[in-house]
Amino acid sequence: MSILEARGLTVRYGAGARALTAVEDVDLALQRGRTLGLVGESGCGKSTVARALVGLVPIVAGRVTLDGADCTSQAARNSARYRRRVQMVFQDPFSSLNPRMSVGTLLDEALQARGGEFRSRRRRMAESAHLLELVGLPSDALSRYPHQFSGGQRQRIAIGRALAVGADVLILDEVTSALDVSVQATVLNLLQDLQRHLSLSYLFISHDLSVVRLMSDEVLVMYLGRVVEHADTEDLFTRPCHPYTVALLKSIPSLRGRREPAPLSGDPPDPRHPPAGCRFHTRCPVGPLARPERTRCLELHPRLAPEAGHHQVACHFAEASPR
Amino acid sequence: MAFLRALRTAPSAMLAIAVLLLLLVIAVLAPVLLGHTANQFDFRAISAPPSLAHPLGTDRLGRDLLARLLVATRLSIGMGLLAEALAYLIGVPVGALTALVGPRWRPIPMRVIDTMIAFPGLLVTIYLITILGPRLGLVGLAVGLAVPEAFRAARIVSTLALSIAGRDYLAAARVVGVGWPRLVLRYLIPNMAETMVTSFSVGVSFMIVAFSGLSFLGIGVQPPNFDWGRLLSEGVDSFYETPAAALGPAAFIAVAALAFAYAGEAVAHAANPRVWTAAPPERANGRPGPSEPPHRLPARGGAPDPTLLVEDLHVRIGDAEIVSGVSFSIGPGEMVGLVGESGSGKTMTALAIARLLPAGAAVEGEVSLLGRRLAAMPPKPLARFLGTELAFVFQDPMSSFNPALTMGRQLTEGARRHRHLDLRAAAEAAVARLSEVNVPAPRRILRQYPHELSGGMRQRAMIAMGLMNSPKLLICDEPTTALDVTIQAQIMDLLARVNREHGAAVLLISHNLALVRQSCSRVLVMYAGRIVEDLASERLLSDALHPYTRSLLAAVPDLERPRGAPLTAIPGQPPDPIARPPGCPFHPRCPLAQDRCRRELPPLVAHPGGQRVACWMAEVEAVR
Repeated sequence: MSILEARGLTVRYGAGARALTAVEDVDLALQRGRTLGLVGESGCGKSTVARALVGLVPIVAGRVTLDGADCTSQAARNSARYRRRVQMVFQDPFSSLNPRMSVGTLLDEALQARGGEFRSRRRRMAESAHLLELVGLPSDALSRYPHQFSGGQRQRIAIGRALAVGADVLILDEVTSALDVSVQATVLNLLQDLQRHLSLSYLFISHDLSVVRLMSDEVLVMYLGRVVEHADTEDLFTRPCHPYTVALLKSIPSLRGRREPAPLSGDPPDPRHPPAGCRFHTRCPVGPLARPERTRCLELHPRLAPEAGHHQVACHFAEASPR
Repeated sequence: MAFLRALRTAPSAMLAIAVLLLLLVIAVLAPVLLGHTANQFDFRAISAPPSLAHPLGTDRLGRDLLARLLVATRLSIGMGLLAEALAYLIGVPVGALTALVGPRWRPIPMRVIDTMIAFPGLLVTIYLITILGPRLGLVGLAVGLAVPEAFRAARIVSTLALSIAGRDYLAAARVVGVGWPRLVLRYLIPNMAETMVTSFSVGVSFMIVAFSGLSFLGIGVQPPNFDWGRLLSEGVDSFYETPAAALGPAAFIAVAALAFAYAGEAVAHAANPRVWTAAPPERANGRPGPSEPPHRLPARGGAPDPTLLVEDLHVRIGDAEIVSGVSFSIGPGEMVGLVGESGSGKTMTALAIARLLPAGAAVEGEVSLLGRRLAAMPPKPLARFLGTELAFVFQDPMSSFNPALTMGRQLTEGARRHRHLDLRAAAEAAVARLSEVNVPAPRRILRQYPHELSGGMRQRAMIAMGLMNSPKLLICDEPTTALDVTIQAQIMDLLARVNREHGAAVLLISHNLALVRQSCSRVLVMYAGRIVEDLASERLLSDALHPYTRSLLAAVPDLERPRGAPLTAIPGQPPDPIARPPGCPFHPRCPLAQDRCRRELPPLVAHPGGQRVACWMAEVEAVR
């Protein structure tokens, strides 16, 4: 059974004519000790999914369950019980840590929120030291302040803080996007080690497909607020079915292959006024732009349908195209 | 305590605090010790000049002026503090409330605050004092001064609180489960404190002056009470007999106001952990002095007449040497990539070439564009030469356009200025360039403002602007970093076409090794202000020799890499530019470092394999 699950998750910002449906009808399920990757470009709603799952933004429709228990209401996702299980690590480690608090205080505060045996100050001190070791920071880090650390070390502090609460589900929102490659590698390796040792479940959100491929067991691809493809990682990267996924994969520069011409033309549409029918039809290389007879894409929104096995695709004309 | 240490390092702050403490001691003690003397009439010494018995002389009733001045300290400073405290007592809750009410209702208190700030504060004060003064005395005065000030405080509080409420660390704390009281006490208040303390102390200083002013005009303190303002007004009447009677109070008012303003700022600044935990700058104990090899090597470029030739370029900002002896060349029509991690000096190198460095940066070395040494050219021809032959594309297309001007104005400016085209001809040229970079409806774009375009469209417009004068060199600094991958692919197509069709040489600066490898013919790898390797991009993966280049390649999560294999991380961090290690700057992180690497800086030398490498171990690596 999955630990954290969302069905038909829908999030809307604002109201009336200026309303923006950032996430629409998204299904996802996190399994114990496994990683679900979530990729998409800016404005596709991936960060909104993260914020909704940790209760920072309210849900307008759908259902969220933690270990089968309903946590759909805003209050449930803000309850101490839920927070002790589900935590989030933010993109920018330079802005997600209070600059006025030492690392020791940051960890201590999170441990206090855990309650129980951690009401004892001595117990919290011991646990803070243990957490630092776990995320690979020296023990003298406790008395120092966030600005005294590099970006990678700050991200370790943020991870340590999420673990201090006792969480076993981590929502990782672009956690390495602000870091250099050499540092990114250390943080990704740390996350993989922690997952192995503590059987953590990750929702790994990134715009970078190559990082998602490395970290995830299965992957969701989002476009303009909707999931367009869902498959096991190996399957998705060897046999992408949705034309958007294919285009994303072709767009990534590679260390080995030759450069391919840009697969998509034009910009993504304004998410406030998404196109009717399939949201991708305005840029789709196999849609009505290229093949005018495919009018179905203009009228009918394609539902996420099983392709083969676990593989699900939301496209009227999906066909697996080997990369 | 670290906080006190931070204070001690600033002598002017210490002086301000000492003066402030002295004033407070006087305020407490003087009325007790000198209160009697200050009110004692001495009719034998009326309006006496300064003497031993009366250091500042006496007033028209024979009272000792120094004693009166010291005794008045309590009332003057006390009223300043009381009025400012009252202002904050009213203003802080009003400001906090403004920040707390939802965005829908916020404009109402905001506009009230704005209106009150726009209204002349002195008029409000005089009006309130006239009403309240007779009944409430000194408290009425304080209230009169506090009310206009309260709205200023409310404005500061609401603005600060709203800006902090949007920060990630507040969201992070909410997710961890930090409760509201603690969010306010440990997150909001500490992060607002620096500004609040400063504005409070500056406010007190303003209040002391304002209160003295009111008393001077006769609508402040009424006899028999007296403060500095009152003493000043009495002193001015007898200025020609006893100038000290006026100068004394004036000096006290000025000193007290300055002390409050400075001390508050100093205390607030020192309370910031960023300040008191900053490590004192340490210098590397061994500079790579004598072992530094001569860098006047011919920069390998291939073509005999390079478009760009950079020789031994150094860029210093303060104590930090950001670029330390960079030499390379770019041939006509060549596309060269400059890669490195943040802080490697790649952007500074580019800015130095284009002469766009911030003021205060010191540049050494030679840059020649199309065979002309830039340093030798007089300013006007140089600006024209760079304006036509070189174009610069910045990372963030939003901040590199002026938001207040239409795209048309900005795109045509260079052509109008350097090629003296009229507006119509320049606009036609701009339309041609825009269509060339695949901008749909270019005529409409010319009438639009930068914010009306998408990021990809702005970057295309930036490139079109660069192409307006058909430059021979295009420097692109992370041109796609702010863009999505599908848009990045479009921009890279465009750069490749510009390079091919216009024959413009391109220097592509990026942190993305794969991007550079796929687009450029040659790759320059920078580390700690130096080029450590220079090789053909098709040989990057197979033949790179520098351990840094190889570690970087191993850290890239490429799509072709086997999925189970962990990424190779580079231990440690790049060195601080003010304290680079002696020898090879990469040695503390290098798996191959030997004694020689710790002592001597390896020069960038041509290697039999056909590349330039700066590594003592390159020979060993080549064999491996």
